[in-house]
Amino acid sequence: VAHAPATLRRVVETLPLLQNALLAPFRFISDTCQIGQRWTLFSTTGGIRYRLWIEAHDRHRKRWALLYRAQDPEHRFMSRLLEYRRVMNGWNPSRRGAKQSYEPFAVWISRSVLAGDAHFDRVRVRMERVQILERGAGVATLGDFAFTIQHGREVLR
Amino acid sequence: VIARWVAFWDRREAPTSLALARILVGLALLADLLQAKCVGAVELIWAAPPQGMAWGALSEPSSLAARWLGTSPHSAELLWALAVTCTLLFLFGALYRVSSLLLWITLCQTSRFLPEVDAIDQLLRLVVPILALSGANASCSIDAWLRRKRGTPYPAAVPAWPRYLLILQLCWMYFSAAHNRGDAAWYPQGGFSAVANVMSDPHFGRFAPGTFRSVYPLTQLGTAATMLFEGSAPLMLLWLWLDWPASDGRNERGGKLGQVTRRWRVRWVWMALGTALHLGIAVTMRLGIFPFGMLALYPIFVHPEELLRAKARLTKR
Repeated sequence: VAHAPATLRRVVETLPLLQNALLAPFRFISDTCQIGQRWTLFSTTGGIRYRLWIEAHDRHRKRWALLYRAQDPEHRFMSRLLEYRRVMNGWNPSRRGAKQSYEPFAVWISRSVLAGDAHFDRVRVRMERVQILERGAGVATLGDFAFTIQHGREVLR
Repeated sequence: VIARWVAFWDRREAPTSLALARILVGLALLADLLQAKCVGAVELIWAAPPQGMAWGALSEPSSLAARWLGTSPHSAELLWALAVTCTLLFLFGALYRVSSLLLWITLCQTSRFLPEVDAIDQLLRLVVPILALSGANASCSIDAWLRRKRGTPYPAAVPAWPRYLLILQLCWMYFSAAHNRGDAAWYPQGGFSAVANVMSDPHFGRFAPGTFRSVYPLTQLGTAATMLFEGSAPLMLLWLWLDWPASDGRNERGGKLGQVTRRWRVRWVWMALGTALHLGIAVTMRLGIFPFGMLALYPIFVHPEELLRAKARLTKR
């Protein structure tokens, strides 16, 4: 658009405004029913992605225990629940980052872990950053984490 | 022109395709709701924080469900029970108009509770009201059975416009998905690597990242086929028109193009490609009911006459 002739640029920039004005009387429908007609299915792939880790801190051993990690057959704590599509949609970050349901999810999983095991005094939920490799070769860890949330026993109150 | 436009939208046809779509959509929804219960997710997804993650339940203005049922774990169970009941009634075509409209309201309410949902949820919120207003309950339903028993059966032909609208909706969804893809990985310049990338995603891939490395060219083919399939979705309207079953069995629409389309069964090839892609997604990716929910709508691409002819052929054998 930046290189287009001025007239064409004005038309292109005006069209969304016109569309918004025309659709304004019907906006309540899309807001109430949460519907739209813009379908973005895997519009971006590759690059940097995430891998969910859920860990609990053992108050006696003073170390973190890995409970669940995506794509890790040895750490499958509550995996059927966590991988159910509606739950996964809540914690899986989008292109714009962590979703609004990520924090309540972290609170909920922390409460579940801490209420079920008195040995643990803290729960940590975080996303390992990974790079998707070329030609379907898998992923390479970037060695750091994003969206780390930690809760202690205060969440049980 | 106006008279032809009105006549087009006022066409009637047997309810078979719509009824089949109703049953399959109902089954997909029911499977999803039962899975939510089996994995113990009901309270998590539909109770307000901190007992759940449904942050939308606390947003203002509050939704009908939040006002009437509440936002506690107990009300989440109630919401689930309501959704299952409506889905069962919808599936079996019982009290159809009321139950399907209630189902639609329930789907909208659950999406207010947890707005971060799949494309399939949004599609179902668009599809269910269209099916609700259609004659999808005029066949293979409890309503139809009761009406027959009472001696007041549904008419043999119901309005065809809901099927046409659903066709437009599905074609638009595919086409919109294709043209919203700015990522080079979906195109030749990105090496058609998109499907391999998605299958390597630790959250979406069903198998460990790198599992499909040895069949990478197949995943490239999958990417190209996906773009071809979705990008060509508007052409389905042309294939449908050219392949319209004529009452006398002699379809001469579209001249040479029509002949080629019918001889090579282009419409069926397109549907087979879509089916293969969705089944491929179901096997290799974790997307819940998405592939099944999409396939549940494929009967709308088949004219009811074709379904009835296939049924007659099968029962003859």
